[in-house]
Parts: sequence; C-alpha cells; structure tokens
Amino acid sequence: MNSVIEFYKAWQPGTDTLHMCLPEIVLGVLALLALVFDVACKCCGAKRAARGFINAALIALVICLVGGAFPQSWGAEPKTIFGYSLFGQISTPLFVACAFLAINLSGIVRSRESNSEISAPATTHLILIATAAASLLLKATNFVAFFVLLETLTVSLYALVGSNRNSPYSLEAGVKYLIAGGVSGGLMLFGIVLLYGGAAMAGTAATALADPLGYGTIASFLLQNPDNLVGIVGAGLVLAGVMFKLGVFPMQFWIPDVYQGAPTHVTFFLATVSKATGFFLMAILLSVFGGIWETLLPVLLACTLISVVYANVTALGQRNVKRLLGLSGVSHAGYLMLGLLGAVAVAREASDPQWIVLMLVLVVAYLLVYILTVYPIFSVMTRMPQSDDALQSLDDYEGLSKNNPLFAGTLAFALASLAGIPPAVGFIAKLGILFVLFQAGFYGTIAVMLVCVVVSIYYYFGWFRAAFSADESGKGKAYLPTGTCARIVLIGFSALMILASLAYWDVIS
Amino acid sequence: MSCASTLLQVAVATPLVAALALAFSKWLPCGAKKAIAGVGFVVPVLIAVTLLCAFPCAEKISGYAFYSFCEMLGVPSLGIWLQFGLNGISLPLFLMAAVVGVAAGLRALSTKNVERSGLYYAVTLVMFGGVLGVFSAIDVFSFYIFHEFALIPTFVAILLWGGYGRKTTAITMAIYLTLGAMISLAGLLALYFAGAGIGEYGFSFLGIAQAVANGMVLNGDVSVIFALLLFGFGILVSLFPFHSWAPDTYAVAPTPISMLHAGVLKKFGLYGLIQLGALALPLGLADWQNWIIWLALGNIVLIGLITMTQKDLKQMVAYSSVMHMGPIFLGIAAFAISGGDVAGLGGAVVLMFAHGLSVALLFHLGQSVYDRTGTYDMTKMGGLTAKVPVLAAFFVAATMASIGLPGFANFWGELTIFTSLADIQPAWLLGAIVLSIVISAIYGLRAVAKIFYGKNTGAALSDEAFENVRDITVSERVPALILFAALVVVGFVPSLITKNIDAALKADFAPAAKVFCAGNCGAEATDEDIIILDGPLPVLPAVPADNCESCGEGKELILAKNITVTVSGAVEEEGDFVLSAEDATLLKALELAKADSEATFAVVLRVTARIPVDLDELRNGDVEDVPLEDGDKISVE
Repeated sequence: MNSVIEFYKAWQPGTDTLHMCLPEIVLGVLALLALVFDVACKCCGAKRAARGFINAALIALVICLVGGAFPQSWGAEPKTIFGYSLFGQISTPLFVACAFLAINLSGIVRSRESNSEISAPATTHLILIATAAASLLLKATNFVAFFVLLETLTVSLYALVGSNRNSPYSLEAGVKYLIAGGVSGGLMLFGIVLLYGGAAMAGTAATALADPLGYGTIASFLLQNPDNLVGIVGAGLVLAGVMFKLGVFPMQFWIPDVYQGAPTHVTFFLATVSKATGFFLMAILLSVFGGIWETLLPVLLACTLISVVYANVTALGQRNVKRLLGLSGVSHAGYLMLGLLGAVAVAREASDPQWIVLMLVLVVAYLLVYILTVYPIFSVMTRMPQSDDALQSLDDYEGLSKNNPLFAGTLAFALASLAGIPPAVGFIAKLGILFVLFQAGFYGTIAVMLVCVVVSIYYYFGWFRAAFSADESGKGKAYLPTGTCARIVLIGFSALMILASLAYWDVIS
Repeated sequence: MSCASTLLQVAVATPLVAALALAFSKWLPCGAKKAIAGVGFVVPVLIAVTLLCAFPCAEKISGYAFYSFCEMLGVPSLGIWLQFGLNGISLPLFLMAAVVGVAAGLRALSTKNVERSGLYYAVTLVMFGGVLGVFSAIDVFSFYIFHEFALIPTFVAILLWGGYGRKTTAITMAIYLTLGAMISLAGLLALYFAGAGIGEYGFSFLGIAQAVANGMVLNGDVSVIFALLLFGFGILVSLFPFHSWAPDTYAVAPTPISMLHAGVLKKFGLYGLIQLGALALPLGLADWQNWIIWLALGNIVLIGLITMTQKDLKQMVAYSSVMHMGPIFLGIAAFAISGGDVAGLGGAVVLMFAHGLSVALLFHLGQSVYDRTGTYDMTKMGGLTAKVPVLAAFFVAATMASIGLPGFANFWGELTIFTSLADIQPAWLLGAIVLSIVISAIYGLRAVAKIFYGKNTGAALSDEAFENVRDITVSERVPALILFAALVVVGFVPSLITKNIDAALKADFAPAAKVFCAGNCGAEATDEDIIILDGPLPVLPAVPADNCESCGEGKELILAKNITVTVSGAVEEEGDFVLSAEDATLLKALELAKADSEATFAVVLRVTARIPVDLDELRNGDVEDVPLEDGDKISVE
C-alpha cells in the first residue's frame, strides 16, 4: 500500500512541473475560453471581439515564448514526468504560430457557404487543445505521458478532420483517420508494453519501480541489452506509431485521403503540426533507443527511401491539389527523416559538439522552411473559388496569373521553394540536408533523393504551369475577397522565400 | 575593395534590381517600364567594357581581378561565402554575357504587342542578372545558384509567350535541366567534401587554383567526381545524347530568352568544366577523355546531320547551337589528349565567346525574318534580298561567322581547337571533327539561299504582302550591330581577349598540366609536384618536343628536353638561357650567365615555389645544387 501511495506521490505535479507546463496551461485556458465565448457571445460584434482576443493572446504567447519569458533551464534532471528538451524551445512557439495560422485559415474557409457546418469555437478549441498536447508531448520524459498526450493530439485531430459535417469527404476522411490512427495507436501501445516488460525482465529492477516507463529506464535497458528481441520489437512498434504521425512508409497510406477530405485549415494543421510533432518525437526517441541504433538504422533508412520514392511516383498522377500536397508532404517528411538519420549517424561518431549541433540545426531548419513555404500555398488554396474544398483540382487554377497575379506570384515562389529551386529558400534547406547526408556518407541515399527531386519537378511545375496557363473556360473566377492585411501577409511570405535564402546561414550560425 | 570591384557587383545587381522594380509595374506607364528595363540592360555592358580595359592593369590575386566578397552571405567556417572576381578566362565570357544580354534586351524592348510587358522585361532581366552572376561569381556554390536563377524565368517565359507546344516543352525543359543541375550539384558537393574547400579563399575557383598550385591532395575518387560534373554539366550544355531538351526549348521560347539561354547560359557547364574539371581533376579528365571525344563527335556529326534536314529556321539554329558544343568539349578534352597542352582550353574559351555572340545574332535575325514573313518555315520563303538587303547582309555575315570564316572570332576558336587535337587517337577522328565546318556551311548557306535568294514561293507571303516587306528597322539594327561588331573586332584583333586567357591558363594550369607529364617530363619531379589522387595514371602518347609552332603564341614547352631559364641581377649577361633538362642546375645557369663571383645570394622563382639560395654555401658544397625547371627566374644579388 505504501509503495502505491509513494508511486502516486511521485506523480504529483510540483511547482517545477507547473512552470515547465506554463505555456501549455495558457493554451488550455484559451481553449476553454473559446468554448465560453461560444456560449456567452450572442451577437456578431461580441463574437468578433472574442476571436480578436484569442488571436491577440496567441500572438502574445508566441512573443513571450520566443522572448524567453517562460522559465527555461534544461540540463536539469527530470524528476517528474516532464523535462525540458532541446526541441521544446523551438517547437512550442512554432506550434503556437501554426495554431494561430490555422485558426485564421479556418475563418476564411468557413466564409464559403458549403462549409457552414464547421463550428467556429469548436474548431478553435480543438486546435488549441491539439497544440497544447503536441508541445507538451515534446517535453515528456515518460512513456505514459508520451502515450496520453499523443492520443490527446490524435483524438483532437480525429474530430477536426471530420468537422465539416456537410461534406461526405470530410466524414469519410475522419473515419479513415480514426481507424488508421487507432491501429497505429494500438501498435504503439503494444510496443510500449513490450518495452516495459522487457525492461522488467532484463532486471533493471531498482529504477524500474521508481520510474518503470521513463525514457531513462528504457534507454538504459536498450543500451545494456542491444540484442534483446523484445526490446527491439517494442522499439520498432513505438517508432511505427511515430512514423504514422510523420507519414513515413509503411504508415503513410492515410495521407492522401485524409488530406483531401479534411477541411483546408485542418489539412494545414496536419501538414505542419502533425508532421513536426512526428519529426521531433522521432528525434527524441532515436536518442532514447540509441542502444539499438545499429539494428534500427537499416530498417529506418529502407522505410524512408521507399517512402520518398513512393510519394514522388504517386504524386505524379494526382490532379487533386490537396492529395498532391499530401503526397508532396510525405516526400518532404522523407527528406527530413533522411536528414535526421544522417545527423544522428554523424553525431554518434563525431566528437566536436558544435559540429553535431550544426547538423541537427540544418535538419530542423528544413522543417521550419517547409512550414514557412506551406502556409502561403494553403492561404491561396482557401481562397480559390470552388464549392467543395475536397474537389479542388489543378484545373481550378487555370488563368490564375491573369485574374489574380498576387496569388499566382505567391504560389510561384512557394512552389519553387518546395521543389528546391534556387534562389528560393527551399533549395538552401535541401542543400543543408545534402550536406548532412554527405557528411554521414550515405551516398546511395543522396542519389535517390536527387532523383526524387527531379521527379517532383513534374508535379510542382505542373501546378505552376496550370496557374500560368490561360483560362480555357473563358469565364472569370470569383476568388474570395482578400483584405489588405492578407495581401501584405502573402507578399511578405513571398519576399521571405527569397530573402530567407540569403539570411539562412546567418540564422543557422 | 576598389572602385572596379564595386562596379562588378553593380553590373550583376542592376538587372536584378530593375526586375524587382518592374514587379510592381502594373501602375507605371509603358514608357517608364521600358526605361527601367533599358537601364537594367545597358548598364552591365558599359561596365563590362570598362572592366575589359581595366583588367590588364588591375591588381590580381592568383589571376583574379576586381575581387570582392561578402562573408555575411555564406558560412565562412565551412569555407563557403559569396565572392566576386574576374580572371582571364571569365572576363571574355562576362563580356560576352553582357553584350548578348544587351542585344536580347533591346530585342525584348522592341517586340510589339507583348502581353504583360512588365513581366516579360522582368523575366528577361532576372535571366540576364543570373547569367552575369554566373561568370563573375568565383565562389562555387554562388556560381551554381546564379545559373539556376535562369530556370524559372525560362519556364515562365515559355509558358506565357512561347510558340507552339509550349506547355509540354516548358515542363520537359524544367525536368531535364533540373536533372542536370542535381547531378552537377552532387558533383560539386563531392568535390567540396574531397577537401577542395580549405584555404584562405574557401571553396572558390580562386581557392582551388591556389590549392592546386600548392599541391592539393584530394581524398576522393577523382574519376567519379569528374564523371558527375561531366554528365551534370553535360546535360546542361546539351552534350549528345542529353541534348533533346535543347532544340524544342529554343524553338519554342521567345527570342530574347533563346538568345540568353543558347548564347550564354549553356557556357556555364563548359566554364565549370574548365575551371573545376580540368584544373582540379585533370586525372579525372584523362579517365573520361574518350567518352568526351565520342559524345562530342555525336554532337558534331549526328546533330550536324540532323541540322541539315531542318526546315524550320529557329529549330535549325537551335540544333546548330547544340552542334557547336561539340568542338568546345573537344577543346576541353584536348587538355588531356595532348598531355597537358592548354591551347585547347584557350580555343574552347574563344569559341565559347564567339559562339555566344553568333548564335544570339542568328536568333535575333531569325526573329526579324519571322516578323516579316509570318513563318519560320524556310521552304515557304524566298527572294527576300530584293526587299531586305541589309537584313540579308547581316544574316549572311552571321552564317559565315558561325561556320568559322576568318575575320570573325569563331575562326580563332575553331582553329586552335583543331590544332590542339593533333594527337587524337585514332587519327581519322580529326577528319570527322573538321567535317563540322563543312556541315555548318551546308545548312547555313542552304538556309540563306532558301530565305533570301531565288524567287518568292508565294506560300508565306503573297505577292502584294511581299511588296510591303520593309527592311530592318533601327531598333533591330542596333542589337545586330552590337553583336556583329563584337564578332568582327575580336575576329581581327583576337589578342584583346586571348592575351588574358593565355596568361590565366599558363599560370593556373601549369601544375595541372604537370600531372600528365609525370614521368615523361624532362624536369625532376619535386615534392611540390603534387597530385596524389586515386586511380592509375593514364598512359598517354608522348608529344614530340617541337610541336609548338602551329599552336599560337606563347605555348609552354613543358615536355621538351631543353629548358629555358631567365637570369637577372648581378651577372654579366642577363636574359634567357637554354639548358638541357638533364643537368639543368643553378650552378650551371650561373655559369652560363657569368655570375659575379662576389654575389652572395640568389633566388629561384617559379610558379609553385620560391627558393632562396646562399651562393657561398652553394659554391662550398655545403648545400645541394638546385635543379631547375622550365620557366624559372633566377635573381642574383
């Protein structure tokens, strides 16, 4: 009985933990406020004020995070289920920014008649909960917290994907995501249980009782028993669950359908936060599972390479824009994984800490560039004039350069960056990844990556071509009205595409 | 950073800034747009001519003048940062880029009825800026990035203002060129990681030249790196069989874009092969020389034959530009074939300069013909000389230039290349290569005959339309004159550019050339004579010593059995002395020069080293006698 009480005492949040979770607590409060406003505000003006308040709060939160208003001290021994991580510093402001952007996109999406079923406060609430879960997830140091938070994130996403109750595509996508997510969640849980059991069997008993599912315990178990089959299978299954989030073969099959069916702002959220969470989690878990790196590397490398090739080849045939973006996202996730694997491979062998940090920074920078690039594309996509989000195809873009040069120009810069063409920043980011891969000696991987980049030119430039070709049907299109603020934002992002490539290395250093 | 180096940066920046200004040009009147674009096109050529005049006296670092750098743009700790400069090889190409750019710009500005003219000028300006950057950036990654500046403008231009079949061509071109770009990127990264990026000047042509001079050791498979560069750049330069993107692209693209792409942008790959491939990877060049020979032969003979069958004027010019890449590749391969003779490289550079100008002129005039007859189909034209004598004269001149008639710059390039290939094995290949002149003559003169001579067939122009055809206007004449003048001036006074090319080649390529004669040279190989690279040394045919009379001025006799040294200072007879290579030592040279017996100190200066010698100790036998090499300068005090 005593040990049980002690066990639970260990789980009580101390002030340390509360400090660590402050940003997420703020997000949670905002999420609840969103629901409160839904009930309290009856008239339009109040609703607008409420939305404005939440937007302002999010911006303030990002500024505080970046400015360091929240207590940070990593390197401290994690005494509880949470600890600071290197990635936590970057990821939390990033996720909050993505949430802010997604909420704004949802406003635009909702203004189209067919999307009137999406409830505004519910969307805001769910997005904020998902963000809080994601950022807290990266601070977890214990597999229980890991699982709970991951499931919180995933469940919010289930609801978000299916949130357009008018559209059969959205509902279908929601169910597909639920089933796929359920399967992967089950696999992951099985993996965690195997690791737990394996650690216990291997006899790390003393620590086991104190923190049986802590990262530290599992890590030391794997380090000491690299050939333990239970451990290897467990780790593999956990990674499979993370690969589901990131969208790496063999868990990427859900992506085209779910990306197509989900309302556009949710697709954006999936493409950014879900992917980023998967990436950071992978990084964290690769360090936890460092003991079995030699076994994991060939498997992960093979999966990633298949994933990249699959994504690029399948994307060639896509005409639906959102599916195209989904598959292109899979290929980018693949490049990210390759970069991560390379960086970890270099980090294990190199001794110069600055060099290791450089490698990791190059890979994370690729993720940031990807998110930076994807937002303008989604912004333009939400403003395209067709009734059903899920049916937006390349043909809808014809005549864009004539009718709306701002959109066409933004799309051009963003697609060039995604494709990896200089002088857009996407090229420099890819160069960084190539650098890491060269350093790690993965020459075959580099060849595959370059071939895939060439293949991807077809669909990116195909989209580009559609935007710049003449409107066959002859009638003008009714794009959603864009306010000056939105125009400035779009121009700003386009400029950033080019300028960022100049400033890239400074920022890296 | 001097005034001249700022000028160089201004030259590259002006078109890009003008393009940016035009991006917001929807609200400007047409005249203002043209004015901004005009400034963007004209300023660089003025600067380029100024720099050409200033080059001989400019201060040079390892041959690179007007050096400037910006450490902010780059990662200095990794040896990568933006650097600008011009050396003897890039200067004529930079000038050519500027001249072709101004011609293309004037052609763009004088095109009537162009939709969205602001975007049209902006796209051409971005390409122009990129092209200028290619030849003036000496930092390798910037050189690559500037080249890629051109991909999106070309894509957009073909889509919006291109000819028939533009949608497909645009995508095909984008994919093919990206393939070439990615392969060459892999090659450049491989070169970087092989250790070429260390040194005061980082991973740049300058840094690599210095490293080669100091005896750089590359730890990587040189053959593979060179292959990546060869095939990557080869795709970008339309080496057979990777040429299929070129004819369609040039035929479909609007004329100013074709002029810039075919004339200037293609030379990027060849320039890269010279500055990186031949300089840093000479053994790789030797390994792949046979591939280059046979593929270039494909360019010349096979593509030449295809060119002869073309009925469409623009397609014919496009194919001819692909064909002319053959001799240039051979000029580069000649460095290995002849065992270290840089004449071939020099010829390649001159031909690049000349070909850029002549193909741009041909595209420009072709557009003029189209404007008058409404078609590019040569079988439907005829008898135009009666109406457009001046245009006909220009066209004939351009054709002659492209064939290689003496009096135009192309002649010097082709002649030098052919003579540098004297040792090609098997020998009949030289005959096939010289055949290129005949092939160019056939299609060139046939085109002229079909378009301008004979009688009007009536298919394109009815008789009354024919009567209304007007001769070439001023706005078409000016770009044609500019290009023509450049071709003729260099054709009659090639030393304007060849002097600089020669100096650069002799200085930079001497160590690389030594690779080929390791074991065959007269001089003793000392420790400074580098080149520890993977792969076996190739067995090359020995070159007879007196090979140099036909090769143009100043050829280095690296492989001769006699060497020449220069002695100056406290000696009775100053000047050059010929010594036999076996026993060329410092004492012997001093003896021949009748050195002052009281002289105590002498210095032996050569490209790769500076050896001070105390003469007292030398005479006493306390130090070993210094073996001399060809070209050494001895200064006695």
